[in-house]
Amino acid sequence: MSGYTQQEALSALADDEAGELEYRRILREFDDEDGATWSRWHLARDLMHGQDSVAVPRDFAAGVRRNLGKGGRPAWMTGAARLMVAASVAAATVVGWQFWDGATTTGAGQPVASNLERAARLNASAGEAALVSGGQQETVDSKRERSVRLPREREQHLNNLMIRHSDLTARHTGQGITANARLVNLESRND
Amino acid sequence: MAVLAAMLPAAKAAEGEPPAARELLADMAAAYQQHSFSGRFIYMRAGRVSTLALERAVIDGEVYERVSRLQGPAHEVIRNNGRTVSVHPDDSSTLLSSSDGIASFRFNDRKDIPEQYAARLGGAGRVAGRPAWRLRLEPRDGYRYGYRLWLDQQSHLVLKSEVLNGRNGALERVEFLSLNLNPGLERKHFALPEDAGKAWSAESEDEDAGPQIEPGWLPEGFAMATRDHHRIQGRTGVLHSATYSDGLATFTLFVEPASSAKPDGNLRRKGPTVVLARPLRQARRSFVTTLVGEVPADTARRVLKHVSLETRGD
Repeated sequence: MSGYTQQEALSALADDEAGELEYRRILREFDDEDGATWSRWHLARDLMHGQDSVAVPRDFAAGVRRNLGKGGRPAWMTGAARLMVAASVAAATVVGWQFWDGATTTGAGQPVASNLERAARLNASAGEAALVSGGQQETVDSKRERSVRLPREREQHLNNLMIRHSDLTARHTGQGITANARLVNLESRND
Repeated sequence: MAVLAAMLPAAKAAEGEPPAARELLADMAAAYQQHSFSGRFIYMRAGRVSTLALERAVIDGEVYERVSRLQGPAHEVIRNNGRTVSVHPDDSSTLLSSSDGIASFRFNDRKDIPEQYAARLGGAGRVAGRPAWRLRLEPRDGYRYGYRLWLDQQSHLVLKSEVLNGRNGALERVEFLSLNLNPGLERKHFALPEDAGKAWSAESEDEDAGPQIEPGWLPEGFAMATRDHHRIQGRTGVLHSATYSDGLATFTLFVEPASSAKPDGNLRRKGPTVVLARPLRQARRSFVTTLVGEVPADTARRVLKHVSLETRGD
């Protein structure tokens, strides 16, 4: 048997496109000045996209999270103070424009697909788009190789099984880092 | 290179000298289980990129973890004393798993990588500003993916890993941007919210209780890592699961009553992760068996085709 199907080849091809560009840019920016410009880079893009950007302590203080959840902005983080904090604090940066696998979600507090994502999708070929279309139901009919939509409940159940698998993998095998990354991104989609 | 590497045991290798590939892999597994560390990393799958922070502490043999998404809505997964809790952007939280009193991080004892992978040392490199050994793991059969790994020369932790398809394309990639081997983390840093809603409830803490999933066929080198029996909130019927690993690749088989799910026979995928379901008729009862894992589609189909459920007189 070949071991690798055409779907897998297409998926890899897709990885080489928009994602690879984004990936390289993050690495480049982080390498520069030991990551000091990283926050500025996020901030610049946020402003460009008209989104909120907030530098927060690494443990995501609950108060900040609540404010973000309500769509507001902490009072202390306005104007020049916001710029200074974003540029100087070695901390996590929360931005609203990028959302993993989230283009299908419409719940409260969910950002819509970013301009960058939309551009990336437009640039992708139709074949790739079927597999990576903003994290839509990436279902491929094994014989006809076409995109298939699943009922919402079924989709949710399969997502739960993927979350469960990732949690078990993180806790019981040596592949915890990757499994944790999968878990967080799968869980985020449910928000 | 493989022959040369095999002649240089890791423990005896002079500083800067490449250790043996397989010993390095065994060290990698041990380092992950024993080290406390923190860092930021990039994760890429299916053309999507996200940045995350990981804090991991091993305190008195217990593992504590916090994984935080750094972009988009703030989201964290925290593990503390056998419980995994997901904290959502609106501050609500969900208990994903709980194994009170049971070793939550009971690792598969195996630290070796099976012979089904050809392991080659690719020399030195740098990731996150740290010297790294580059390793290539090539599958000797078609039942698993290949890997490229970059291991920290000091700690042997994985600094970067890629899951490869047959054309050396990366289906998934993790790469650390920064790594701190002395994070000074304490238990209180991993405090869990008290009001987490339950996504799952344990049906039995005894993994041998209830029906057992019997894989009629497994690719060579795979062994069971864990299994359990759970209920999903809002659904009827018990979900049985069994997780198998060859040290790098992992898949989980789920079996549940047919009334709670209808398989459509379609293959679903995200990067290297496939999801495939099929009906299973046994002892005059209908079940659905679903495979979720990081294996090629053909492997998933073949494993699933041979699964049965031992109901033990049920």
